[in-house]
Amino acid sequence: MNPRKIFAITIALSKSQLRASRGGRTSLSFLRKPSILLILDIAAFAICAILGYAGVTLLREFAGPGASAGSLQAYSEVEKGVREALIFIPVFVPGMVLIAGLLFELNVSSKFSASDTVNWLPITQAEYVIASALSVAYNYSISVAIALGITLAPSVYFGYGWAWAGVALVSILTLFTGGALVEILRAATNRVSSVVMKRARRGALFFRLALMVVIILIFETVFNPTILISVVNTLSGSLSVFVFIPLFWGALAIEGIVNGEPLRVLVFSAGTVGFTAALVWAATKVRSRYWSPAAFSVSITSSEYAPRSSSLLRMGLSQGEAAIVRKDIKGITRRRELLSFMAIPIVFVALFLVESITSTPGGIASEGGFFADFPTLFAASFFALLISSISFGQESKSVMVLYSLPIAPGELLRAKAFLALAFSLGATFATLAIFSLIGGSSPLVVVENITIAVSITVEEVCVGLAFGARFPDFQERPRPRFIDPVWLLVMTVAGLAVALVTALPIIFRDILTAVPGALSFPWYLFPAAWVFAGVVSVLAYRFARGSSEKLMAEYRI
Amino acid sequence: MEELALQASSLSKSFGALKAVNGIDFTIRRGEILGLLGPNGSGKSTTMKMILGILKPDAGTIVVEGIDVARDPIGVKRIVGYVPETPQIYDFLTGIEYLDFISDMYSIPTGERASRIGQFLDGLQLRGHENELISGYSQGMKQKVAIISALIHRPKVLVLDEALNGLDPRSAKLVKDLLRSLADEGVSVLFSTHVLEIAEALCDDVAIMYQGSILANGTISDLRQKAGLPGSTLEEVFLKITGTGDLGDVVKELSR
Repeated sequence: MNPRKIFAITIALSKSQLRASRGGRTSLSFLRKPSILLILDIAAFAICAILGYAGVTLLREFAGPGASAGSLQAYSEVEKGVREALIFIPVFVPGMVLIAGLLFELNVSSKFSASDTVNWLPITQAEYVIASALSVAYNYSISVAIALGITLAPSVYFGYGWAWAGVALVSILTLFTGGALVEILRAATNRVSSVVMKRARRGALFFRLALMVVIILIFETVFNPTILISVVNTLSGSLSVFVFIPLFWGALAIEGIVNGEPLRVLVFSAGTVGFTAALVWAATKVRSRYWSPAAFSVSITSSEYAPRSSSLLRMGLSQGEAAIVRKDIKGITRRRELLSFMAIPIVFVALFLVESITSTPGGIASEGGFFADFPTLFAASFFALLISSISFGQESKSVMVLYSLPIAPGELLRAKAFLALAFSLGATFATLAIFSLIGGSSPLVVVENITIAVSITVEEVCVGLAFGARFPDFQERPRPRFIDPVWLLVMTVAGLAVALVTALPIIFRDILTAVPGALSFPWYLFPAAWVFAGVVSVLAYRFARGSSEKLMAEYRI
Repeated sequence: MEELALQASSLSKSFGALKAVNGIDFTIRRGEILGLLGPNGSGKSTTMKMILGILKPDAGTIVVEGIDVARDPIGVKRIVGYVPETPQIYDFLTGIEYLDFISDMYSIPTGERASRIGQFLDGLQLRGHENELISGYSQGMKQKVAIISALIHRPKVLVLDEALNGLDPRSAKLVKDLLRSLADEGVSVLFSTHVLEIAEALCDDVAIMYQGSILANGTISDLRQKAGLPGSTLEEVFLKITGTGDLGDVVKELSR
């Protein structure tokens, strides 16, 4: 193993990850260098350290001489909070890197990963895996910088300075643990891809999506400390079980420092190093076994070509619109960079489901009310917004095909809207069904939820299309983004704001139901929300149509 | 008067400060193959994209089979077959799925398309690969798919931007013969290439573009006369007209 090579690959991968999601503008070239991450880390650490110091100064005055019993009680609670934060920081880091990996690493286009230069350079699998894990760890190191910064002053103040130093070391190590986990997840999803694509036929491509979601969900669940703690509490009720969970070894080492137990510190620190080394070894093994260095020839079917009329035509779509819908469905199930867009909302809703089931004896969702309704509203808004906003940009450079074909902008928009609506309504109804069952919602509540969730889905699809058609990003990058990132943020804020307004009847209903003897529910809020969603949908769709016409008027890519 | 399939008048297009196409005029007669020759960056691809309505001209008009491109770009696209310089086709589809998609977009009846696609697959030796994902195709196979897409709806006009790039000799010969045959049946072809031998063998007329302008057009013998090089090759004529012929010093420098 050659450290110089590892360093060189780490820098190259870090540059690639930094630049993969940025445009070609060179005016701010320092933003495109890996060193910017270190500068950001230092800045974040410094700002948070100052904030932490300010907090300590306030605390000193608050709990100074003559402080009331209540103040002293609060002081003691803060000290306990600081101690627990120090213990659990290293535990949360790998899960955080995994979430970041799901959001930003797994959607790297197969085209780019397949033509990866490292596949034909004299680099060993271990060197590559270590470098890749390091670059992932480095890219998401800001979270550790923030956590360490904010806890520095309180730790010193409460006499946990050594523990803080230990947290710094262990957190950096667990950051790397998270990087190794992302590598394993990458190889696992690639394994699923290649197995299904090599052996399977049409229907199995949907199976690949399901399998990928399950794999991601397993990883996100197994390495999610909140869920693990809930599971341990549910199953055993004894915290001594954590000794057998490697993810918690870092926390146990820190606890050893806090309690002054050197043997414990030594054992669990060594355990954490060993656990990380084992993960790197596993990542190297799975990568060398499952990585496919080049695109392979894949036959989807062996049957004779027999064209037939599409059933989509019976739903009122034109032949061209139906063709675009069918093409996009194939894209969603076959393109790895789109798979993660499908998987992310499903994984987040499923994680909420797992957390809600494990966090209280009967589960949060079983208590009904907003906790049961929230996932439905989340799926309706976030999923619809995400899917519709990328519908234009996901054409990538192949959008040139559409420019050269006799398809009107209005037809293109209808096709995109149809597919986004179909997927989003499916997701909304599925989530609604699951959480209504768990929450034991009454039929009236379910009907009310359906009307609001459908209204939100429709309006979010229209808002997503409006932004997606206006600000698409067709550039092919290792990590494609499909929509201008600045406008993605604006869209997310706007989309969630209108969703919140539309969801007000449900929020009010749930609040009023939870408060005994509260005012009677203003029923007219429901029709008002439907009208609001209708107006937003019409305006956004009209805007999207104008944008689609402008977009298709001339190729400007 | 001969029937014109395509008429471009005073066509201009700029990208920022770069004048990509600078007030060019040309026509294509029905059943004619016009070769558009020029070095990289001379404006050929831009001109072709304007014919399809993919790019909007800053000035000038294009009429294809009586249809003004500016007024009815969709109408023009229905009757034109286009092969771009670098086909960016959907590589998550199989070859047959892509051709089925294209057939839908041109509203080719389902009863007709299977036999038509089958003929092209056999002719261009793609049979046996049609159910594979395009992502696994070679550059030449992708080019063949793009060529089939341009021909499948029996267009009246073909706009082919370096269409023979990456093709094996047999397929290149087949496409050239097919183009000649289609032209004899009345299909008009605008064909750009860097390979001057192909232009010489295939084209009825040739237009030489350089820095956004058409420097000369006509039959190859017309161009020889204009260049004052009777009996010379098209390459010599091309280099003379574009003023890029004196390469001796460059070769000397590079071979040091």
